[in-house]
Amino acid sequence: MHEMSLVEELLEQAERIAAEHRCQIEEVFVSVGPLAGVEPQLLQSAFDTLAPAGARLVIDEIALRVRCESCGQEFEPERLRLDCPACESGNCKVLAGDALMFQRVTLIRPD
Amino acid sequence: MRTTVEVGRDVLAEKRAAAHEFRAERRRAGTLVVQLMSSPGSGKTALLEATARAFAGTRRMAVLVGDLETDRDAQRLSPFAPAVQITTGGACHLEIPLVRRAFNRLQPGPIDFLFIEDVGNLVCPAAHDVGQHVRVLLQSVTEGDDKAGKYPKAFRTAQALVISKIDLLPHVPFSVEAAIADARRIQPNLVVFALCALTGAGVSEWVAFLECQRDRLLASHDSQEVTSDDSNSRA
Repeated sequence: MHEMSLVEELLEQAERIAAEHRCQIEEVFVSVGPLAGVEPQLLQSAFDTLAPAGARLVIDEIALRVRCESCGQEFEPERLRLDCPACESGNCKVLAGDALMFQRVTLIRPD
Repeated sequence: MRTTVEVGRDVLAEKRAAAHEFRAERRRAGTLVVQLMSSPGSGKTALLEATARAFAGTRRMAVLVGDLETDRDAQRLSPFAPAVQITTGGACHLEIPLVRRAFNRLQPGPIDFLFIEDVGNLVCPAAHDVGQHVRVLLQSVTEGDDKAGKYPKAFRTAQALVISKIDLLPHVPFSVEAAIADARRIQPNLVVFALCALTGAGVSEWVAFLECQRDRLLASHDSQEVTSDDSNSRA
């Protein structure tokens, strides 16, 4: 279960940003695709375990998007079959959905 | 007061940058870094023993080997090559800081090949760049020929697949052709070897592949480095 170490990394980056702004983390927004190797529920529970009190994680589960480098077709593969549905080429590039992306963080300044 | 800061970056981008640095340093030192990834018991350590026997007297190699506990693998390998055990204490994969620390402890001197034997696991290691030039997956014939479709990220990010324990083929319902076809549906450019580390069958082709990868690496420049991290192997 590497979600713990991913959350540690995520929180380290979010806390650095919060410290620069002299704020606290309110919400961390991430996106996860099917080839990220990340289980959203485990990510959520790792975050709830490790995050400072009051901080929340919002996960956007995105689709895998692929472009065929042979014919230019863009598609969302079914069942992670990455060959092109139009020309059957295997020369395809993943555009999105293979990473855990730290999209943004909202910060709150305690007054 | 509330502020939103846009980031829009892969969470692992910083670790990947550290892995790039390690990769570039090793290339400048003339070392090809090979990461081995598989389920537990697929024969990663046996393959390294066979590789070390094949390289004996001609090539210098060293090994960093990850496991949850014990230094059994490092002990197995130490008669053949300098080896350092990385015990992760429960963590399911290696990461670049662990790799760098172990490498500094090993201080192997000039070497031609550095092998990083990751923790036996087909899931988490696939998401982490450990500074390798080449990612190699092992799949033993006793595991079944349907692994690629089940663990797409591992196969998607690998450059080579070693089908191991082929001496057992007469005894198990494993189709080498089906395994290769399944793997190439996920990663069409996968180079495949079928071998038996115990008998040495197929090992010379594997060793020739390593030599060829190293030659290519040494002929490259910083800007066109042969890399195998996620972003590059997407293409």
